[in-house]
Amino acid sequence: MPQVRAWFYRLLGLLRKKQRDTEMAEEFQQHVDLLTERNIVAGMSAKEARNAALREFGGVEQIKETAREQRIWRWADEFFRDLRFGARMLLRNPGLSILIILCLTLGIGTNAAVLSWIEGILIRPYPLVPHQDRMFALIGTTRGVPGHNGLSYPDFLDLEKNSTLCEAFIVDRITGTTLSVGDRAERATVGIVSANYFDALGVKPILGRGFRPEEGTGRNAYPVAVISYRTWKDRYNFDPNIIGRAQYMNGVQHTIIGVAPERFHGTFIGYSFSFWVPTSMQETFDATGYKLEDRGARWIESYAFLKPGVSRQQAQAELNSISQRLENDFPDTNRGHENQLVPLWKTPFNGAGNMSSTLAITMAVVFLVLLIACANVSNLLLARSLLRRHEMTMRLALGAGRRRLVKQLITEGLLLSLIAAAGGTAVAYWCRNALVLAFPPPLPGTVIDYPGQIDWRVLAASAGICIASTLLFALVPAIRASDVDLSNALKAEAGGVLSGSSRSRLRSALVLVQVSLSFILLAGTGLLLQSLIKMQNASPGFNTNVVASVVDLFSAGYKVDRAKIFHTQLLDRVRTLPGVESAALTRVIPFSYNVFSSAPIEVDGYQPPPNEQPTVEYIEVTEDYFTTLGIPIVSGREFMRTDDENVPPLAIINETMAAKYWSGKNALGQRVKVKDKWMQIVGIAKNANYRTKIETPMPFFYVPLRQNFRVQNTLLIRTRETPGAMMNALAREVHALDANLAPLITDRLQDQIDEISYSQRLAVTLVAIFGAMALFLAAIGLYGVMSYTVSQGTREFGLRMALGAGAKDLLRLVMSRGLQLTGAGIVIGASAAVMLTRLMGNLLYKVSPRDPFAFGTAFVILFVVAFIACFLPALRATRIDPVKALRV
Amino acid sequence: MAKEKPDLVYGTLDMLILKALQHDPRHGLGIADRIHQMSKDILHVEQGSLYPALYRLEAQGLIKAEWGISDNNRKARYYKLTAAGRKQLAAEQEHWSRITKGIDLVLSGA
Amino acid sequence: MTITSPNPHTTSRANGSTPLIRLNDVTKVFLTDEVETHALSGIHLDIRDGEYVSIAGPSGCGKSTLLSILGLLDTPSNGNYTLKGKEVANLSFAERARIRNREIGFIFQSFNLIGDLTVYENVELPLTYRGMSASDRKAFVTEALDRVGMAHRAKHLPSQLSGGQQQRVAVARALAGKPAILLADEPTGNLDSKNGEAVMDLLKELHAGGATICMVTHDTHFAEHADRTVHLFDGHIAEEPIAA
Repeated sequence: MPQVRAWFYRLLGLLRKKQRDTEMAEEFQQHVDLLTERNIVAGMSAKEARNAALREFGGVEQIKETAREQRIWRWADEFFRDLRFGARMLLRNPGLSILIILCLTLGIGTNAAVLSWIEGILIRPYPLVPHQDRMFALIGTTRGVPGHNGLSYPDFLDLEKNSTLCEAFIVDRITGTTLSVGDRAERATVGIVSANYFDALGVKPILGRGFRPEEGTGRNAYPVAVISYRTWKDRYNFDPNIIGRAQYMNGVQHTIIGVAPERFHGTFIGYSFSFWVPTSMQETFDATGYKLEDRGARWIESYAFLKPGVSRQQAQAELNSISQRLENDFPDTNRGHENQLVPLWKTPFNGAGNMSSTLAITMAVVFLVLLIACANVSNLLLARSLLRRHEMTMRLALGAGRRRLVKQLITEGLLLSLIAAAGGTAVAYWCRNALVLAFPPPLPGTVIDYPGQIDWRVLAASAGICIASTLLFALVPAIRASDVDLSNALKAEAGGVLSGSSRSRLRSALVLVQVSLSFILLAGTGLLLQSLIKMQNASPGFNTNVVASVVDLFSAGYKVDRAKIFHTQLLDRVRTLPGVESAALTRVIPFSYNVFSSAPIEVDGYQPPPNEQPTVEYIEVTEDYFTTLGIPIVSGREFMRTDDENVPPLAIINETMAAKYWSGKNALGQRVKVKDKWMQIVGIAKNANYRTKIETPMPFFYVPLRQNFRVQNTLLIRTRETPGAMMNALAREVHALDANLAPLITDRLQDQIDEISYSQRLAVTLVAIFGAMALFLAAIGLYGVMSYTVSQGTREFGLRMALGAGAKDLLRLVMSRGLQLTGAGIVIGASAAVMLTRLMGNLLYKVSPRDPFAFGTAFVILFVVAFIACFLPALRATRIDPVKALRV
Repeated sequence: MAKEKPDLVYGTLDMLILKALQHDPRHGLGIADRIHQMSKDILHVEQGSLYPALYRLEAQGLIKAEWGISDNNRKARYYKLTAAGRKQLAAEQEHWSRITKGIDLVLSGA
Repeated sequence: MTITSPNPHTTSRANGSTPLIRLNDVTKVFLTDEVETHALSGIHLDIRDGEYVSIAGPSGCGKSTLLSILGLLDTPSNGNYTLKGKEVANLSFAERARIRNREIGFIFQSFNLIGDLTVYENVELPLTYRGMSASDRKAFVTEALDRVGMAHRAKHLPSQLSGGQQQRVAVARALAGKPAILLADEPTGNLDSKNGEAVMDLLKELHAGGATICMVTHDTHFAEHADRTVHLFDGHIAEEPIAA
């Protein structure tokens, strides 16, 4: 205890040095005065008394100094001395210091930015939800079928009722509505949520209330809505009387009952919601009908909150048994259906699912950059340390203790890393903004909210890694110097052997690490860029130069019959517009966030494996769909105008479906049973992509829209006109049919595809940026090492000159050393890259992970960079003055 | 220890100061006087080692200093024992008596 | 032996051929902080083929500068330098490198062997700058190592040798290219007296075998090994006593 206090006291003393000095002087003065008084009492004259007192007291300054020594932390004093000296050393070699700081800054900054970004998106995506650690996504799966689906509302209620290990379940289904704002239409994102949504999340509305338990059920019984802060701000101008206000949505007047807090955007990563409505309003917002009592309609996206202390495995086991029971009780709908808990960062139904692989790669890349930065700093510090070997030997010879040396070097290392950490923080903040900018909203009208906060733990960790490596390598000179046997060192100095340019193993190893890491990054970047280009150029299996537009009949309150008339008339009118080559309606367009219909099927003569329910996705389309999108019909025919409710159900299947369920047979003319209806197959279409360009071919089929009419459909128009011109013409036609309506989006399918593949584009952009950064760092590293080698080898080069080496000989010598190292690094990097790039498989598109072009390019770039990095120092070697060099 | 060779056996000054402060707070001169008096004029503490020792003890938290008024109405810095100092004094006294006893035994046995 | 200074033209050999090296009125001026330092002024020096000349003088007298100029490591500020009858004072970098390589063998005070290279490779070094075939190089290196008695250490690294042995290797390196002249800069400076003697004996032996040697030393004892001694003082060649 006294020890700790003493430290504290000394520290305090250090801080208050001035004050303590005056106090001390005063105390001594008092002491002398007392002695003087005593002497006067003893009979001395005042002057005599004072002199005697001073004599007795002794040298005031000396006592002060000794006393001060006792108080002041001696090593702190030394610390400041070291700090001053360290600063001087850094300034003496500003280029090297700046390089070191730059490398560290980049390493720390980018790492912190990207990691906290990832942390914010994936690990704790909902800043206002207190128990995210116990929150899991809940998805439905079908045995034997890859991928996932949702939950049905009755299943959801049963899970909620029967689970003892889960605290709560919430429904969170993203949907949209059209709000009319003056004379234009605006999309708004709506969440259909369970009544316990806000309570379970622990999010308190800042105004009004959340939903009451009874508001969850009852068909369209509770038209109430909670609005987001942003909606309150943008749409209602912070109206203080917002609670109780009416808002029409999808033709139903809703009452606003609450305003969510500013930082709560809902539970769908990548989107912020404008409104939340209770599950009772499902039908109002879902064009596909009322589903709250349909156990087969798996439309719910859900989250589960586990009770404290319950593991995911335990909860999953319980869910499995409940699912099993449901399967037994409701075999028709639940055969093969299971429910899975998924960590938030793997949530498949929102932005997390799209981004986790992207972010994983980004993280790996950033980590590589950090490693390269560390290797770089180590290199530069090592180079510096060797330059300072003489200084260190001198200091040892002058009697500095090893500890003292180590302390001095640590101080210098600290100085470097502290400056860099400060810079890194700045870079992290800058990067954060840049990253947010780099993520443009994927859909127009959608506000994206990515967390942009720098996580201090991440920052601390990145800075810690850098500082540790800095300190580690800052110490090398001390270790080397104290290993040196002084008498031997002196002998070596006097001896005739030049070891200046001898290749330090450690340094070579660091260069190897650096070059090989850079190679991995470059090769990876090359692969990703290549697949991006391929992906951009690849055909999704249909013509993307097709204009797509929606008239939001559902929000306008149209029912199926009216919608059918409207759409039929609109389609006829559009087909006569100038420039239109063909047009069709479809319920859902490919490459959109909307879900396709899906249904369990039965096929004549196809026996599914036990416990497996073949489920296939499909869409409803009109005649000319295949013509408009340019999807070839391999055999049979396309749908016709007459394929309506007056003819027996029909279907066109894709090649994969034909091959899977009718392998070896001709599927044409065969039957498939969908939702209790037997459909006759009239055509087989060539495969196309449906969601992404990188999906694996899946069974898929098409049914005539006219046999399955829905309110909401998308118009596809193949036209020679621009989308803008088409929009105007279309708006006129829509207006002619119903003066209250306007078409919503007029976009080419290509734009849609670009939006949906943006996570790949983003990954590539990021990897390219970091690849370039790594290249830059590697170049600095190589340059540092080579120029150090040259300066160390000055004498050797002088000697070689004396022996008749020409400029060419010296150039060749230096270059070959650098390029040998580079070559070896590339070999190591290439072998590592061959193993590592396989992990990028799911981000690559039609590019082999060992693509020779990507590897070759990485090789060439790295070699050129290395060449330049070595050439400059090599040129310097030829300019050495041999007379001076040999005299050193 | 032997290297230092001060007037007092190294380390004993601290103990003496603590002892001098055992009952009353004192200023620097008072402490020197007290030791002088208690040792029956045998021990004389140099100011040059007194103050460093005081600051050392203060830094270790064994004594505490505050400004006060001396008997003759002068401002002076008074030192007093802290609880830790009291404990330390007891421990050192115990230690010291054992050592001296040991030394006595060795010397008398010769 | 004759006096070489002040009039070099009187020192030509009886057969009338030009000397191997002739410095004519060579001056070297260094400019440091705008102060001119005359390291050498008005140097006339002839060295004939097969001669053993030592250059003596106190430190700072310009010995090393003179040797640098002789070795074409440095260029005179003024004056002429003819080597084998060819003016070499103002050649290009590449040409001077070529002449250093072919005509001059350096022996340094600190032997300047390269630690990463074996004895053999060290001796081979100047030959590699000549574009010689490997087999020719081998013959030259072996011969040079034989002459200094270090052939048995060819595969060793310099650090495995004693100082005396290192200097013998350095001498072999200077010899290997069969240069016109050996320039030795305090070759015994880093050696104890026994090894120093041995190196001096080696030089004498080489001289006896026909080598031309120019050696800088401040050790009068070693200077006496030479045919004649040129005394440098403050950048000038001093009136010298006639060498023994």
